Amino acid sequence: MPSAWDCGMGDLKSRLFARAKFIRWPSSLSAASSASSNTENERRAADVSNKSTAFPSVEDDLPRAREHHATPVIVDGEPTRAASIGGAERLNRPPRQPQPSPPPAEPAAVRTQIPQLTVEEATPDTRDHQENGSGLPSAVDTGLQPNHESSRQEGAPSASIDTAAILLNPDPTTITIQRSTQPQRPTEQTVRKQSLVPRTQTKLIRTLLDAEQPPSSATTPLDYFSERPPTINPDMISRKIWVRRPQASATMVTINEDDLVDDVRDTILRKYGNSLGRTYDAPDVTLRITAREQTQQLQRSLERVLGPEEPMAQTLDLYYPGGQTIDEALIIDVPQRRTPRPSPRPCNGSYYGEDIRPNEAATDYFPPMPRVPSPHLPTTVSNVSGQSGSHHAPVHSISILNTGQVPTLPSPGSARRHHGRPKMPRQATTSPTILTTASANLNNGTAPHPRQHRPRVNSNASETKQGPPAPPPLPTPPKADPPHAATPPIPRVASPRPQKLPRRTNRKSSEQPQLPTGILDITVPPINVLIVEDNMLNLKLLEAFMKRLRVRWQTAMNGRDAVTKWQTGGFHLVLMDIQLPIMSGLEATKEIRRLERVNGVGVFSSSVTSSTTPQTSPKQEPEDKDKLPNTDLFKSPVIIVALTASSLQSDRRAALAAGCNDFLTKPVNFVWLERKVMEWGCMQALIDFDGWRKWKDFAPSAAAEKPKASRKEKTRSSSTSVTTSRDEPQTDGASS
Amino acid sequence: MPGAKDIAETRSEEGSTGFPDFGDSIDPPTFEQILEMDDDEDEREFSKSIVYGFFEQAEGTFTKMETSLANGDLAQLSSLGHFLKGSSATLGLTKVKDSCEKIQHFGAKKDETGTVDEADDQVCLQRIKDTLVDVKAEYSEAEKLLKKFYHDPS
Repeated sequence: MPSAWDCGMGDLKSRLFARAKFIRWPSSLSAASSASSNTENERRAADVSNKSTAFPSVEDDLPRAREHHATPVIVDGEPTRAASIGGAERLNRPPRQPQPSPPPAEPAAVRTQIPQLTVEEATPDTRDHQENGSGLPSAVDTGLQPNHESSRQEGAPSASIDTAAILLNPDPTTITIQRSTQPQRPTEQTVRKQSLVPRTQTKLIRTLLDAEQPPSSATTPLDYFSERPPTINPDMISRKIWVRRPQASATMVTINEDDLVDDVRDTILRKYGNSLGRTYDAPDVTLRITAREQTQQLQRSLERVLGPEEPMAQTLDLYYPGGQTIDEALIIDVPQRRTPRPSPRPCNGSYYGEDIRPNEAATDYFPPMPRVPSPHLPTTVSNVSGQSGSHHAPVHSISILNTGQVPTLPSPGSARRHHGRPKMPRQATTSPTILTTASANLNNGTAPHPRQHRPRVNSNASETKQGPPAPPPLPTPPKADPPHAATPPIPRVASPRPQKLPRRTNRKSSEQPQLPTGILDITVPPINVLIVEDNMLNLKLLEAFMKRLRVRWQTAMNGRDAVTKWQTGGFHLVLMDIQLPIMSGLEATKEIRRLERVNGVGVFSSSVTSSTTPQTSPKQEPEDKDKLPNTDLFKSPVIIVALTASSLQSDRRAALAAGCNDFLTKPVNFVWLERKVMEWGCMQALIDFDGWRKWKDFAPSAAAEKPKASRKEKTRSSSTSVTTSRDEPQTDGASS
Repeated sequence: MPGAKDIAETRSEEGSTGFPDFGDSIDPPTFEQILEMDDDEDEREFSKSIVYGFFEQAEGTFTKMETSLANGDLAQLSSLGHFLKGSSATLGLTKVKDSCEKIQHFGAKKDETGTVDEADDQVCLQRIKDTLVDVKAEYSEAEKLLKKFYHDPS
């Protein structure tokens, strides 16, 4: 018996802190039976069960429980004793005393302590008093308690000895010493224990008590003293813990004793069903625990995040011996919502244009056209990405085409910071491909060494970057007929999803700008844009935007200026403010259209299928003053996108009637602007494709030069040939 | 310190931009796309130049409006209103923009929606005068917020 008790004490000691709160009242009750040895337990089982059956009532019958506590106080006259844990245990033990077979000396000692408690519990108070009075002086009694407690902490054997010593020879000093080791805190703790016992634990307690093996059930509480009996399901033991969100009030969640932090997160999400549960999954949630001042030594930092694998209850007990107060509620952290930022306006969730500005999709005015077949698709994708690899190349080619000379690099912008944000996956659209191809073609047509400026088509880098794998090359259809048939319909190119605007790297553009893959997600066609805007502020902004899109641009401050600039040729896109001084945007637009007409520019006046290259389909000779200086620079009618400050439909109609192709509402939304540039730019390139075809027929000699020109970059030359072969299907598709 | 808190919260939600809460004075998406153009989110050189350019522009325009108001030059007032409307719209200063639009309409001898003609010049001038007071107040509110955003003590 003594050994058993000793073991129990030793066990208790080792587990005291870890398990401290494990079981509240009920546990302490059964703690009485805690005696680890089965034999003893069995013997007492009946007795214990009798007593402990009452225990569930502790919760149900609070007053009574208080009474228990109160009793010792009265008896001892010692305030400290009143609520101590020891008190609770003593309460539990009493049951043993009545037992018929008194244990040997040491146990007896223990029991002797217990009797005081016992009285409180099962036996009438009077009896208790009597026993106390007869057995031990109140002082001893008080001392015993602490002693008991301290013995647990210090070691089982000593504990029993001490107790015995006290019993036999109540020495105040001893008591005092022991008491000093005993912290005061248990006092409050005990009280809390009572209130915290959830009603649901009644079941547990009953289970324990009614279990087939009463002894083991008796042990239960005793997690303090012994291993947990197998019959007890940990799930049955629940407790409540405080949690709160930052800056919010705390709330309690019920957890099972052996729950891991991971389980607790689940529970919390259920508790916060609305604010968190709908948005977050359990793994998103982190719990922070803040150590008490005193216990800080346990943890290096005052605050730390709980790992999902930590046992919740034990951790809490470790941090908050004596119980977690509301102020010590665990803090629930959820990750900041960091969604990928597909557009420059991340904070506006509803930003995606279709809902907001449906009109600007302009589908009303440009009814859906059959999609251009995309035999190029494979090349396209790689072209696009290839272009992104060396973005200046296309610009060169187009500018050479239009101006006959190599222009300076397009408006080098200041260094841009690269945002490492998630990008939208690249989408394979037909337009960019065609675009690149076309511009390359154009380039071939006019430039002596076009190959130098070819984008790095099909480069490896592009392969790594592009999202969808390139489909296998389509079989090349038979060569198309004359270029005449080639003019494609004006398609509404599928809008690319809004994407992160390309950012410039800090690197200054060297001969071959090396962009890290992924930096340039958008390849805007290498077009030349004329910005017509009288407000310096807006102009500056638009210029900055064009810089970022890496397209060339020029500016005009009024309508007259715009027409003059346009007449120099080479523009693909005009962003036309409508309200302009001197000549309004509408007037300027009309003038441009008129000049295009009289000069027979492009496909505007001819049907889609019969359209020819501008050079081959001159209308009547325009008057001198209207004659464009270099018709080669006007491959097609320029696209005019009106910028209107008003959202009135009438204004839009007026703009379209004047010859604008599209419009944007001010303040210009950059995502939309980018789309327009992309779409119209791609379309322009499609149209210009004609010119390239023409050149191709004419200039086999130029083709012979290709290898030379492309000497520097083999990939380019090879890609060129690929592109060339692919162009034919494209033509067919467009003409069919 | 509610203001500071707002900023902090916005920053955390936003991730990096640190877009503050300007209330209804400034349309967040519009202004943010300008901020997006900044190379350096600490310096904010570009957007700052735009914003401060706007300050100059707006103050200059107000002065001109006062002059035109004194001269009874409705057409000029309408033009000035239109001009400032464009700038403020670009920056997302919605309130200023709306008021400027009114001035533009009043100057064009219309009602504030621009749909009904108003024959009486004096009525138009008076309306512009009133609106000018409003727009100045709205402007200074926005200016204050923006200067705070750019950590401008003045």
